Amino acid sequence: MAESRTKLLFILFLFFLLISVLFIVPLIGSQPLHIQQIIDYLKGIETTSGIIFFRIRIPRILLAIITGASLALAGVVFQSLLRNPLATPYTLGVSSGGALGAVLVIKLGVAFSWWGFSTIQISAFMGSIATITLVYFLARRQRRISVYVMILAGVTLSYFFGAMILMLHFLADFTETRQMVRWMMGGLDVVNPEILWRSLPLLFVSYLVLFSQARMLNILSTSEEIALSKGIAIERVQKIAFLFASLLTGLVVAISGPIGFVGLIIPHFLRLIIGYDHRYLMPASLLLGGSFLAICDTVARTILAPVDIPVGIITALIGGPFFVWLLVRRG
Amino acid sequence: MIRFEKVFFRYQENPVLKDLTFTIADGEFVGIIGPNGAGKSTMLKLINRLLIPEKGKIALQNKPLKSYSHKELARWIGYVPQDFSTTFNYTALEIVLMGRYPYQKALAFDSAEDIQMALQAMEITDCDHLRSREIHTLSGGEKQLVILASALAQQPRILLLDEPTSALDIKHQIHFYQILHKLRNEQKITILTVTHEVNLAAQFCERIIILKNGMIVADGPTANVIQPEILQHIYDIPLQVISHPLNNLPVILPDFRSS
Repeated sequence: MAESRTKLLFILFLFFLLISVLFIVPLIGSQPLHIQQIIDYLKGIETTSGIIFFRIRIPRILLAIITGASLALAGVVFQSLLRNPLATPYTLGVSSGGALGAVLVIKLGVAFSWWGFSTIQISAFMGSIATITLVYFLARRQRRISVYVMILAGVTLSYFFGAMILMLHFLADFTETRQMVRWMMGGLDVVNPEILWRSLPLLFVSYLVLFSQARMLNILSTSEEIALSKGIAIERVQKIAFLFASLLTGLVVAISGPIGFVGLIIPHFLRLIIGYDHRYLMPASLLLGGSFLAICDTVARTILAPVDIPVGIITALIGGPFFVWLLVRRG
Repeated sequence: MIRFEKVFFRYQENPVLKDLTFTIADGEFVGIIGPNGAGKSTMLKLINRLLIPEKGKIALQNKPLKSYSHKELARWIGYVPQDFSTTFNYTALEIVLMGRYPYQKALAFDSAEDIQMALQAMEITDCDHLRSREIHTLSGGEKQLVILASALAQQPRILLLDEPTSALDIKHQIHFYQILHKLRNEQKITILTVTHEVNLAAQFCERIIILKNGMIVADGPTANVIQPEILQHIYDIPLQVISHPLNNLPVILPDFRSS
């Protein structure tokens, strides 16, 4: 798919796919819905189907979409920033730091809320941000960031936090342990729809800022020497991309927990279809990442209904074999 | 014009360049030779600001190199590394279009002019037939032509090449230097090439700078520098210099089997 027109058409297709997913997927669920009741709800009549559709399923699908979109976009950015196709939004320890924050407040039993966000969400977000700040300062060198040190620092911190999380597990009682394990599996239950709207500005700003770096990321993803010789202020690009991709990841991990594989398989799949140019790859990842997680979540809600399986298990069960297939196919 | 004045550079404790002073005039085709570890690549990277000197002054067109913005510098100088490898499999045309970056607005897509300049650069380096090929499918020789085209898409006045033909066979080496020769003659581009292929340098460069242990030990017109006494001392092997029967340019002939 070399022509830019074809690529734009494909992105348009992904956009309509996402819109269809947003309105079709909420109709599927353990409780069958009546279309007439949904339409009545729009006319101001309180109906059961309308309430389930608009107040329960749509917010949840929206959360799935922004989570999947953010993770896929962050995956693209981290892969090109670290020049490593196996990088994920979690490679640099963002999710482990977040998990440590979440597990810590579960163990301590602290409960307050701020602006609609729960203690666990706030603490997880702070854990993520503290981790990336630490990784950044460890990897900073004169005039640039060392991506090797960054990966090493991120992986090391992940293991270190992993040990601390295990320690907290060991000290926790059964109720706390269950809550911790459940958080680590990732989930898209929307307790308070307000936090969705409150997160959107930060998410959208991050998307736009990352899009604006697309051409620089193209060149930076080949080599630092080439990027410098083409006139790119590489430290600035590295800083911006790292900061906003980390913010995105930190925020969605705090709200939905560490959902795996989206940030890995969506970018890889799309590179096979529309190539490597970030100007197309980034919007495509955003759109397909959103649809993918919304569909996975529907599977999670319905496959063992009325039991709600954590969506992280579904993305891993679909993503793992898919990724192996990609590797075998290319090898 | 490039001017080095007492430029000193070191990696950690080891001085690599010791008070280097020289001037390159516009339109010169200069070969930089010397044994491994002499500081040749470091010198190129200082000109391109991939590295920053510890002491001394570097000037481009009589203005301090420091005073150029990243994009300004990229419009003056194109750079071809020794071997280009990338994890991500861009097409050849995408790689060449990256050379248009210093002329583009931050958010804009490639203009018709960008694409035209990129294709023109690929024509000059004889690689326009590779435009939609993925970079991972190219041979070493083809890849170097694409990278050269990417540097030319910057419309530079100066080209820096760091052992550009070290991985190529003799046919592709000659082809590559013939393209450089043409660029120098037709577009008056200043060319600095670091190389171990002394015979290629002797055929194509008009000026040779020899570096050893971070210092210039010889600098001048090719015929004056390609002398047996100088080269024997530099490379520490016995050798002869003869005249090429077709063009009388010097050819280096090591005494291959003497001990």
